[in-house]
Amino acid sequence: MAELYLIAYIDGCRVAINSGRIESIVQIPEIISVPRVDPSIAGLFALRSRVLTLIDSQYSVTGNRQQLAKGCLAVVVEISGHHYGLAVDKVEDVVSISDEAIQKSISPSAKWKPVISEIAQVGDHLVMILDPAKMVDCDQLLAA
Amino acid sequence: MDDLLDDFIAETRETLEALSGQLVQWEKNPQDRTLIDSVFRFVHTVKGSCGFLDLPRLLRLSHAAEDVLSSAREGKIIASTQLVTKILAVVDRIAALTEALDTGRALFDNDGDLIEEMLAFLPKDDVDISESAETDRVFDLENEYSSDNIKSKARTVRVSLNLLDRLMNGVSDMVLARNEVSRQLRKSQAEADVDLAFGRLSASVAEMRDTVGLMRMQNIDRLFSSLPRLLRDISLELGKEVDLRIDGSEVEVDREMVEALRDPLTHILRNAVDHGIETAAERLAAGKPSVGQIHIVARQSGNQILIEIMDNGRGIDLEKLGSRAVDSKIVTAAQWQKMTEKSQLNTIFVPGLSTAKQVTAISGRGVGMDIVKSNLQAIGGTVDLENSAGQGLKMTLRLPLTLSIIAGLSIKAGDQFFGVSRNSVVEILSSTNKNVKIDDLGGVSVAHIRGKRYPYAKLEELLGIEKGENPVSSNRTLIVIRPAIGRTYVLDVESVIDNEELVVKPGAPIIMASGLYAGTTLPDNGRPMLLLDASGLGEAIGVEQEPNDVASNADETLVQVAKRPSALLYIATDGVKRAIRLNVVDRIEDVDVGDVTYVGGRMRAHVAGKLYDICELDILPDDGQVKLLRLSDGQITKFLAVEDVLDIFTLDGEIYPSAQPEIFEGVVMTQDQSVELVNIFQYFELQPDAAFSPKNRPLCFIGCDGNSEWERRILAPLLTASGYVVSFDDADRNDAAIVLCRDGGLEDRNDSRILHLRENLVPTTVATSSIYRYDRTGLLSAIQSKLAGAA
Repeated sequence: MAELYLIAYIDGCRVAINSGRIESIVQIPEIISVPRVDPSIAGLFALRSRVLTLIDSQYSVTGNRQQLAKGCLAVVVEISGHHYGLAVDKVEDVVSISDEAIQKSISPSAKWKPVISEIAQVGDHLVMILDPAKMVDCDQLLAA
Repeated sequence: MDDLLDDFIAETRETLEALSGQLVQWEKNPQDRTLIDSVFRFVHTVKGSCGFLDLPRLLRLSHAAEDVLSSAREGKIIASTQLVTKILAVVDRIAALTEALDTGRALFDNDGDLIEEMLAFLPKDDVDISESAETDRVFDLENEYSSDNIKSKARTVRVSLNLLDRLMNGVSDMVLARNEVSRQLRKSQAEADVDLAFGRLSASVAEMRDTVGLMRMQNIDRLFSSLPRLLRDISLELGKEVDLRIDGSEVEVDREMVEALRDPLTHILRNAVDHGIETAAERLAAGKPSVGQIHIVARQSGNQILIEIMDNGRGIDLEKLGSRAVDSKIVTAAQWQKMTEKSQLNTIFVPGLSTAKQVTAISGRGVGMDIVKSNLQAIGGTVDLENSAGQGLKMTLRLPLTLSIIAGLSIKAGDQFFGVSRNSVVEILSSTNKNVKIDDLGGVSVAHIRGKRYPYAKLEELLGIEKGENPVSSNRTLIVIRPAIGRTYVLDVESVIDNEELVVKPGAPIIMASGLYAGTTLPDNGRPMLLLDASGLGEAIGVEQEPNDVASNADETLVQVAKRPSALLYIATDGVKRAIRLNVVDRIEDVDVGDVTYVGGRMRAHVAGKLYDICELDILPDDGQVKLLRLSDGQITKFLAVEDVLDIFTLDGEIYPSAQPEIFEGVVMTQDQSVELVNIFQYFELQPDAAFSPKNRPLCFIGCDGNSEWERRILAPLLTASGYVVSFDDADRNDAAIVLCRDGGLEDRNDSRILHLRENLVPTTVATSSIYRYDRTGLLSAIQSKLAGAA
């Protein structure tokens, strides 16, 4: 069974995000910072009448904060009732990835491992499949 | 088929909720036909539906229950407590099975046992007959249905919560978009007819928002209807007899609130029966009726919901509580001695304390009231205790009307805005206020306010954000915050921006994990704002969480301070500093100049779809905003234009009489300056109101000889302003309700309507009672008591 995935770039790397989890892709309006919280939170932004939490995806992976400004791209996902925007460098394409394309034998590098569920082959390239829920899992972040 | 099943589940669940109260009543009045009938009708409906939907387990249960109930209806068996228990077990199983249907879980099947236990109550030979009698019963039932249904069913449709939430989000979007359009329109100087059309649109959007708000509301009965059943189970288990009375089931609360209240209320009830209500023997020995009483009342008061839970049990034994608290190392014996009764009572909310002699299945594990308190706090509520030892305990839960909208202050710190719930704000002071002193004790700061010490912190430092680059003014603002848990503390912020209703949504778990925030909100300007958690901030400052006696003493003094009359110091539109009594000031509002117009001979402000008079605003600036004080006497609302608002101070000094009592109540001292305290009445007297038509006003006759300057200039305006008709004409004297005269002015001391006014503060000449002529309050109250005496 094949599902559709969005190909996006985080920290210059290609990742795939299951399109079923994606609500929309937006350009971020003004960002309101949130003091004294986990550094992976870049801030809050408003999308229509909702307040969304912007995740600095690059920090989640590399531990280096990214300068996020108005106008940058974010993938909006809903995770257990809350809406988040995952900051991405750019989005590329939507591809179909079938179960057979999953490469069980390859595992991602240590820094990516916490947020990657699988690695799949798309066309001639390998691409990491991102699990958005792992980006905002508080327990995991606190443990880290 | 799935649709039918969903409908069946939803319907059964609803009927069950409504039914649980009746089941308990039925147990008390076993012969009550209407109660038996409604239970019977329920099982019959279930039986009918599940036969159709092919649900054999439900069918067997409901069929058996129907048989038993039918016998009870015919009077063949008596509905005893034991029987009701068995029937309830079957009804519970039906409920559990229905839930299982919804979730798709499996449920252990021992229905047979339940059914047998219940059928054991039937006379043996009856079991077989019931089958054949069924057709008649159904016939009978249909008749009842038709007569019952006509009178009560209001027309409703079932809508999924999801859809409702989407609708509400949509309306919020619309409101935001409207605000944006309104800003654009103002910028572009649109034509009048565009404005008109926009006004219409705006009004209908506002109305729609209100209606959607109502859709969230739900009868609190949904919460209360399960309580009789709960109480019955607890009291049976503990072997105590308890009567439950519920009033105010018609109060409407936010749908989410019903869910949030369920646990705390259950807990309180359990506690009341387990700890509060004594056994029947103990009660009789104490001279009380053997059956305990629990009374629950819900009512709405302003924008709060009050739920009172009263029992007539033994109340809280403070001595026992004290030794328990000392044993649990919550306080030392010495501390306990020094605590006030109120703080002693409040120790029941400290985690790890229980007064129960032994642990029972129901309560006494030391988790309880602290959970109740924190649950309530999570929804912005508070709990108060009123204890009368030996006579009972009254708990008052105060809750905001809706979960999602709170009265908040928006404050500025650094370049960011934050919200804070107004409930926890005790007072707001300027850092230049001379009553405030801040000591830095090597990293820890302490604020002294009127001799009281509070932990103190700058919000910027607490949150680790940069100080604002261009603060509006060099003054900073101090907010005294009393969180629901922990000590009162002082928060230093750059400024308080506004006072507004904030729609609060919970933040993402990863944000809430910091403990500093209570949620997020989106104000009208479309920029998200974080709502600060008063308790969490206190913790971050390092305020200890244990309630200690010093803190509670300080709290109480504060309450007293707050109860003394205070006044607001402001700069009037003519540039003069004046003061106004704080109790008439609702809030401070900044109104756009565009919303202020000179119509009908008066300046009026257009606020939230209504027109209000503005006092003391003569010249309207070309653009920007005007600062208005919203005054209210409880019925009438007016605005008073001001240049700026400076401070709040208590009116503890003397009020010196003013030469113009109708405009200024007097002169008061604050910050070593004397300022005029305005007479609030002048703003409201201008309001023509039916209640104040001349016919209803009592007539005051002022008798005077020769020089009547004082009477005409000062006394008459005061009386008119206070709602009396004044006459100097001797012809009116006989009709007058009150006759006023200055010393020596009038004869006829026997006239009971006469009030004497004297020249001097201290009575000198006459022996009869008289009032100093500048004693405004004394005079007015004397008039009132005379009127009351005459009536």
